[in-house]
Amino acid sequence: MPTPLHTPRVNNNDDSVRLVKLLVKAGDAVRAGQLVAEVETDKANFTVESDRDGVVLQITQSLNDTIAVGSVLLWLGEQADERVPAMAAVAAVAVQPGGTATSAPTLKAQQLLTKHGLSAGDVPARGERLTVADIEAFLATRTPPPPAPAPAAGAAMAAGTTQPLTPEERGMLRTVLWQRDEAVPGYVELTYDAAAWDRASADYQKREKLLLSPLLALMAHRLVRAAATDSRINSTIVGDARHVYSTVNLGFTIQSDITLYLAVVQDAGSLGTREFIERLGRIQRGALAHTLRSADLTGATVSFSSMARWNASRHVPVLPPFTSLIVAHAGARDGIGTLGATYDHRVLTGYDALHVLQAIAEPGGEFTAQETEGEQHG
Amino acid sequence: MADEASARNDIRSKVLELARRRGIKAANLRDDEVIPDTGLLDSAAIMELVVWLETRFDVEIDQADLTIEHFGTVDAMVEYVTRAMA
Repeated sequence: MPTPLHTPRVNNNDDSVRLVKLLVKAGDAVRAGQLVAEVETDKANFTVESDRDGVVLQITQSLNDTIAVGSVLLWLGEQADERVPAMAAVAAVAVQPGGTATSAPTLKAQQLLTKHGLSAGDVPARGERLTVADIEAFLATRTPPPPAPAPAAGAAMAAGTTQPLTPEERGMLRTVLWQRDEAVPGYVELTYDAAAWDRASADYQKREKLLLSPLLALMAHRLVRAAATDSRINSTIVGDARHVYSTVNLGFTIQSDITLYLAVVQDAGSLGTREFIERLGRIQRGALAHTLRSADLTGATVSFSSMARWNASRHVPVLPPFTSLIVAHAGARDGIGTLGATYDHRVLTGYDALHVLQAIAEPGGEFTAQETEGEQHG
Repeated sequence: MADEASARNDIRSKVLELARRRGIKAANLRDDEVIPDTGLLDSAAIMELVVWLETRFDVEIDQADLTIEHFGTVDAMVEYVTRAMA
C-alpha cells in the first residue's frame, strides 16, 4: 500500500523548508534510514531519511521549491507498480505543525504564505487545496499593517538595492525578533579569576592527554550541571505557565566560516565531564564541516557562547528562542575574565542568572585527578 | 614511502598555513614538536586542522582519538593518517 513520506519539521520556528537536493528518483528502492532528500531552513541544511524500506513511487515536490512542513515529500510503496492516491486525498491528509489536518497549499500559495509570514493553518481554504486566491482574500480582510517607519530626521531613504537575506541572516532575524516579541531580556555579569580556570583546564587537558583545550567545554558543562540541579534554570514560559524541560540540552554557538551555528548537545545533563567534552567536540567538528543534522541544531534549553577567540572583552548575546538564559564568555585581561548572562526575565530573576554565573566562575577542585578518577569508575 | 612523504608535506603545509593565519611564522617547526605546546595554533585552528585531515585523507577520526599521542605533532598525524588509509 502506498504510504507518504512527509516533510519533517526541523526546528520550532520554520513552518516551511526549501527542497535543495533530491537523492532518489521514482523507481528507486530505498532502505529505512537511507537519505532521500536535503532541505534547507533558515538555519542550515538538513537531510531527510526514509522511515521504511520500499520503492519510491512518486516525488511530489519540485527541486528548489519552498514546501510546507508536514506536506507529502514523496510516496513509497512495497512494489514499483502501486498507484499513488489522487492529490485530493493528499491534500486532505497534509498535517500542519500544530497537528491539525488542513488543506495543503499549492506551490504558489506556499510561496505567498512564506512571503507574508503565514502558515497554511492561518488561512481558510475554499477548495481542497489552499490557493493564492484564498490567501489574497484572507489578506484583504486583515487590517493593513502600519506604514514602515520613516527614515530618521524625515530624510528620504537613500537610493540603493534590496537584497534577500541569506538563510543564516533570516535565522538570526527570527531569533532577535523572538527576544523582542516574546522574551523579556535582562543581562548580568561578573568578573572571575580566569587564570585559575586556565590552570584547571590545563591540568585536566594534560591529565586526560587531550589535544584541544577543554576550557570552554568544562565551563559549559558547569552550566549544564547548574540547569540539571535547578529545574527553574531549565525551563521557559508558555502562556502563563512554566514549562520545565525534561532534559538539559546545551546550545553552544559555533562560528564556521560566515555561518553562526547554535549547535545542541542533547541530554547533556546525563553526560559525565569527559563524555560531554567528546560529544561537544564531535558537534564542533560537524559545524566546521557543515554536516550538522537537525538533531544537532534544535531543542536548546540553556546556551553558552564565547567570543574569547576574537578577544572580545564583553558581549551581550541574544537569547535563543525558548531558552532561559545564554552565558557569555569573553576574553580575559591580566588573568581577570568576564562572564555574562542574557536571561529571560519571565523565567528567571537577575539573582538566578547571577547564581548560575557564580557556579561557573569558580573552577573548584572537581577537576583534580582523584575526582576525575572517581568519575571514570563511578 | 611516497604516500607518507606526500602526507607529511601536506600536513606540515596546512599547519604552517593555519599558524600564518594567526599571524605566526612557524617555518622552524620541527615535525616532532608538540604543536599545542608551541602556541602556534589555538583550539579552533586545531579543530579546523582535524576537519581538514578527514577530508584531505578521506579518513574518519574518532573524537576519542583526539589526543596528543595521535595528533600532537606532525609526526603523529602522519602516522595516524597513513595507518588509517592503509
